[in-house]
Amino acid sequence: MLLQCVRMEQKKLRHSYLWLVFLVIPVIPAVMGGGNYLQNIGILEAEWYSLWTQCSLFYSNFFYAPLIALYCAYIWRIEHLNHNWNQLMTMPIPIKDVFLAKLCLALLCTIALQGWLWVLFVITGKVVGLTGMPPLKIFSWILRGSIGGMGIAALQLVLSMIIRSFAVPIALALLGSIIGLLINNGGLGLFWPYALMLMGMNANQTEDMVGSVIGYWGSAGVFLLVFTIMGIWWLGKKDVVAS
Amino acid sequence: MQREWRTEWIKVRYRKVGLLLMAFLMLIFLWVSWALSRNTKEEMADGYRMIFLQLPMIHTILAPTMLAMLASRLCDAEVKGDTLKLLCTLEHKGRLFDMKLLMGACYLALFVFAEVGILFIQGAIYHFQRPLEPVQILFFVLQIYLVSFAIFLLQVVLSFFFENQILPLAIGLLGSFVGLFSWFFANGIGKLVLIWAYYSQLCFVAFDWEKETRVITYYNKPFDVFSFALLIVFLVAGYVIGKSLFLRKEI
Repeated sequence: MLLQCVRMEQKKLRHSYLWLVFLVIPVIPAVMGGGNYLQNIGILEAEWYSLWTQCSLFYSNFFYAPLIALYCAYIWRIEHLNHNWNQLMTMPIPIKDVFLAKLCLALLCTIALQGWLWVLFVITGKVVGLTGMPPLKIFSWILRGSIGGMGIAALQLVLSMIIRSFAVPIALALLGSIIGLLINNGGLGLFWPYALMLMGMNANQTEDMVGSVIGYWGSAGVFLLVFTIMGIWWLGKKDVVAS
Repeated sequence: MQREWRTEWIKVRYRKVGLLLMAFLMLIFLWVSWALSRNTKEEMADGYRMIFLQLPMIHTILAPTMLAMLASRLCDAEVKGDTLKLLCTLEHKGRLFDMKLLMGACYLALFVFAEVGILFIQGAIYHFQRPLEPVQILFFVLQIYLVSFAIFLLQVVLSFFFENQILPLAIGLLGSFVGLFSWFFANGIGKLVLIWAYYSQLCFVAFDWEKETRVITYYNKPFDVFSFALLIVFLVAGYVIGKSLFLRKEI
């Protein structure tokens, strides 16, 4: 049933401009990061690692969360319009599958986005004249960032489900990211979901920002689980408002 | 005119637009406080200039998305509610567009006014030694208000034009990215064409960083009158084009 729901959700997203947004926006940090790297090549001496700081800093700090928020807001927007809530809630589908199907898409989107960032990073490296392939460590940071990003995706999915506006959850994601930056500087990043992407991606650091690997995975897992349960609970208990 | 104006405020009642802007304002206050708290007492002597450099940079990151949200929220009654057809038979179509801009201008004015308040509050907390120059406040208000209003104008046009709000919001995000990177690039034609880059273009404070001593020295730089004039041209042209597009839009 869940697989069927995922397919149904995919159908709803067909012919939207979402793919274009996710294709174009990550190109900007790659291009600008590459440009910045070339301008400061005298100071940035760690080659692929230096380029990584330039490409990933702003993406993971400020832009991943609003991007995934855009995706989540769109997934729910369809239900918020044209009395679709009534139709959705009266379908013979378990409530949890409705939420999980949307969550699966958001998680897949996170992985695809991170993959696209990796491709862009490699291309940028080649364009700025770096030799060989990027160290595997950077690839592991991308994967780790994806795990951190999943908690954010689940939270945004819950917010977009509750808040009927398309724009507000996206604004909240931006606010959350910036608060995440401040919290992370205070050493409390593991307790704030929006800080996990920044930590996982090890943006702008040569030393690993994740002090405790268990703590990081635990935190990411707990956030993902808590927000998923919260979303399913909300969907099952609260009455829908359809307009 | 008054009736339309009142109607606009009724439309946004209970939509908590002000609350969200307050959240952004609070974040700006926290961000500036955090940034200032990382400096030594000697560095803090020139705190006002530090803030005049920080605030536009923070705006570059936050404002495009915030303004996209504001425009989308203000146009929700017409776009999401699909009421344009009804409204445009009751009131002059062009006036509806003007009212939206006027409302955004009011929200923005309050926002910038509160930001000037942040400046004074930080001054009172940290007792910056170098005094605040009144002309700096004027430049700051012109820089933040006019650039933000130009971005808002663009977002209103996009929000009215696209029923699917992905595009306006995505362009807001794109603007944040482009604007942020514009701070790191040299002046050129590219910066003059991109509206989001005007926060950095109109910045009237610059700094020197000495690598050996790691000391930052802030100094005034002349207000870029040419870019300012160009921004006004963009605003006027944007208004004329945006309004005519809205008037021609099939409802």
